[in-house]
Amino acid sequence: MQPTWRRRVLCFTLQLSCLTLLLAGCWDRNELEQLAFVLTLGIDRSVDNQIDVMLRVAVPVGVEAGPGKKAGGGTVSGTTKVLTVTARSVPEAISLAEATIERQIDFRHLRIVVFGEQLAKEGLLPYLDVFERYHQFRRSTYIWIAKEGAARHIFLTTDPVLEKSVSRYAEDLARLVPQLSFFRMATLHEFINETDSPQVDAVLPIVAVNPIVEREKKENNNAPLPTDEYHQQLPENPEPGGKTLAPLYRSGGNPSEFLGVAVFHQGKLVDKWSGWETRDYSLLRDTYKRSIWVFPSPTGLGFFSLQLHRTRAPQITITDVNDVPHIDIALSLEGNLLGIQSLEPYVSSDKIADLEAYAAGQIQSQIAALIQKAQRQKVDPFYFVRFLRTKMLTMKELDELNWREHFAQATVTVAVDIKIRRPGLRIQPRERETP
Amino acid sequence: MIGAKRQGHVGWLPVAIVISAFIHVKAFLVLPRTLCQFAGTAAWLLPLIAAFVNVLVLLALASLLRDYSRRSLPDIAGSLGGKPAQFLFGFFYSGYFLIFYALQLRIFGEFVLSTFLPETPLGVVLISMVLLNLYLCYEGLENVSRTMMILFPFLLVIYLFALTSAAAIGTFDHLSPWLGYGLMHTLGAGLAVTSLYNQLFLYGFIAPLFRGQRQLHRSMMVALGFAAAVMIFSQIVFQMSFTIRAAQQMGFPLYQIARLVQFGTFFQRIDPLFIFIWLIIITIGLAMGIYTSALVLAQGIKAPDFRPYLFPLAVIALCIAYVPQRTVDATAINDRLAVWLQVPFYGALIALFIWNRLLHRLPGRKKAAPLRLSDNGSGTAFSGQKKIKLRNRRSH
Repeated sequence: MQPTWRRRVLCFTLQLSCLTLLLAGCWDRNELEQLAFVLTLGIDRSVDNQIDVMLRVAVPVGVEAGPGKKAGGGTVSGTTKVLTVTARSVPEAISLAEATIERQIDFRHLRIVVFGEQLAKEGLLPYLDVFERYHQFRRSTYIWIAKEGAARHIFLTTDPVLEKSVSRYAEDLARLVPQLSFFRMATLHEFINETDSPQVDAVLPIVAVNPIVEREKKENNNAPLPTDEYHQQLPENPEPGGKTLAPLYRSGGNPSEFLGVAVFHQGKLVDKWSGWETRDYSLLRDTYKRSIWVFPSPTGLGFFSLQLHRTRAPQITITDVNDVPHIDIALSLEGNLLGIQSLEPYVSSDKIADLEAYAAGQIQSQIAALIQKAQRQKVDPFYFVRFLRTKMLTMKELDELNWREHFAQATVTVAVDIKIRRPGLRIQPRERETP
Repeated sequence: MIGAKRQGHVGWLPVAIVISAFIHVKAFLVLPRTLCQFAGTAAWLLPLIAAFVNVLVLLALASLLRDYSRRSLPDIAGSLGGKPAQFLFGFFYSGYFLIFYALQLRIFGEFVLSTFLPETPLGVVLISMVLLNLYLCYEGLENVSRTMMILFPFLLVIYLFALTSAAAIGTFDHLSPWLGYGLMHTLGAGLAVTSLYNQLFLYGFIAPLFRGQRQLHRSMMVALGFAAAVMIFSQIVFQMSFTIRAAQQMGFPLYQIARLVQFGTFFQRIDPLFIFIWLIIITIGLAMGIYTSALVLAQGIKAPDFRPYLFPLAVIALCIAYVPQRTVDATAINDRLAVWLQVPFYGALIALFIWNRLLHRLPGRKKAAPLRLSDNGSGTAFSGQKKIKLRNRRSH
């Protein structure tokens, strides 16, 4: 053997020996059987300025299903278990929870964090720092706010209609949101980005527990109420679902319902908006994809329904920024006619324009009312300042712009353009019977 | 001359790509955040400004190397200022690359511990990486560059896929206001980070490995252009994804970007994929760091081969890597040194360039003899330099 080769072989063997010594053990080995995966986390204000931290831990045996195996009852409660720990901080709660679970807690599959409304009013930012810092948490985790109650209430009552996997439940909701626009599946990343922007206010979705469905689950052994009893639960003149923050009037299904958003200023909850307002918000924030809109007929004889898609991004111009700003908003929507409950013959080239104009007027007034509401609160979750900052050259200009004050005094004009492209598979409705 | 003949000629493209990877190591660590701290929303302009400055630097370097028929910089310094100049030149640049190798190694180790191996001792991560670096660069530049060429298409595709997916989440508004803290501040910050591309100086030490001046020149410009393009694109995506306030406090920015991407049920996340390309590029980039340090030291002290210095320098680098007590100390030292050491770093080259132009390009002065390949046709950095040295002595 040549001396060069000998030396090379020696060096190579030495390197391998060093690696063998270094890699003899694996400090970070994680066996699946030794981990307790937390799928959702809830945080509430507790007694004595402490917090309640709820952890929904996956029970893999419950998820398993197949020939000869019985799945865990087909419900979320069968595939997961909920623990609650009271502590001074989230890390402390995690460490205390680990003392009670026989496996190491792991957050890499965490999908949703729910905060109680009280804590949201006090401010979320102190509790979010750990989610940004600790490597097992992801900024793509969804954040929810429990409406008028504790996150624990949501934890204990949630019972999805079909899904038994919490992760799929979250994914399904995230997929559904663009089709409804009554809700916004905001991630931790989006919330923090909006909170970090000095001229923008953040929003988070609110989750409520429906009292009728909850009672069915508790008192009626999960069976729907008889019709008479159900009708007794309803008010005399119920508002359309989603118009206000009131719970939906419904029976059966998941007690949790997803309508509306909570508005935050510097990390603190300042207002809550209904499902309809959330839809208007998403039009202005340019997160709207499509939704079903129901309007009273122009003649007041019934209703007509449209499925409207966003045609293009909102065109917003802001003038006189340093005086009394004027915000000019132009929105473009198009869609399909879903139904004319009033059975009026609107489907013709000349008449359909009446429907378009009427629907546009309704949306315009809804949006104007929402903007006025935001102006009264001096919050701008619509991120109108994006149309100003792109015209600015320096960050100093942006920092010195007291946008919320300017926005509160701004005059606003809203123009909505709607085109009903397709009437569906029928042209005119059948003639209305005269009484 | 053990192993010298094994360093054959190098192709202009593989070297350009491997040096781009060498440059890009810092972008994978903390650079995007540092740039945001320097220039606010205009941070993405800094790699562009620094690239323009570096074009001038590279032209000066190419001109100097052409005048001396692609001899290495320490060799040129030796020709102009004698042995002490050659030694000082080699010692300074070797130390420079070694310090940054050590600091980047430490930051890399801290990143690994902060993200996916929290229980593993730091020493294990650092020593494993150093051994891997030594193994990669032991056979010289040609070996590393060919390895890189095999991996390059996969790395580029996955990297661009990850960044493009992240860009879809971000918004262009975050790039405005367009001039950050102001035009002059941005220009000043751009000049202050000229050392973004200091790894291009490696061309001054590996010039003898190129077949011709044109190839060397082309490789330099492609490396700069490619590195700048990727760095600007990465920076733009980073800034689009985070508000400037968040970006200025973001630990390990590009990794955070990859973690944002979520494709739903079927193909949930891309960060496990991103980690692989991230590790490969960092490993190759760091290997180039220790290689450069050993090569320049060997050239400075006129040693026939760089290999004997690899291991001792690696041990010194490990010792330096342990000097900062905390992650924040390591990144702060790295950022400060990157700004302050660029004065002597570029100053030495400019001094050499001016010295050559003013004092050594007098009428009637003979230029250095062109580089000829060694007898076996391998044309190594060392064999080539040695022959030139002999020829120069004869001509003088």
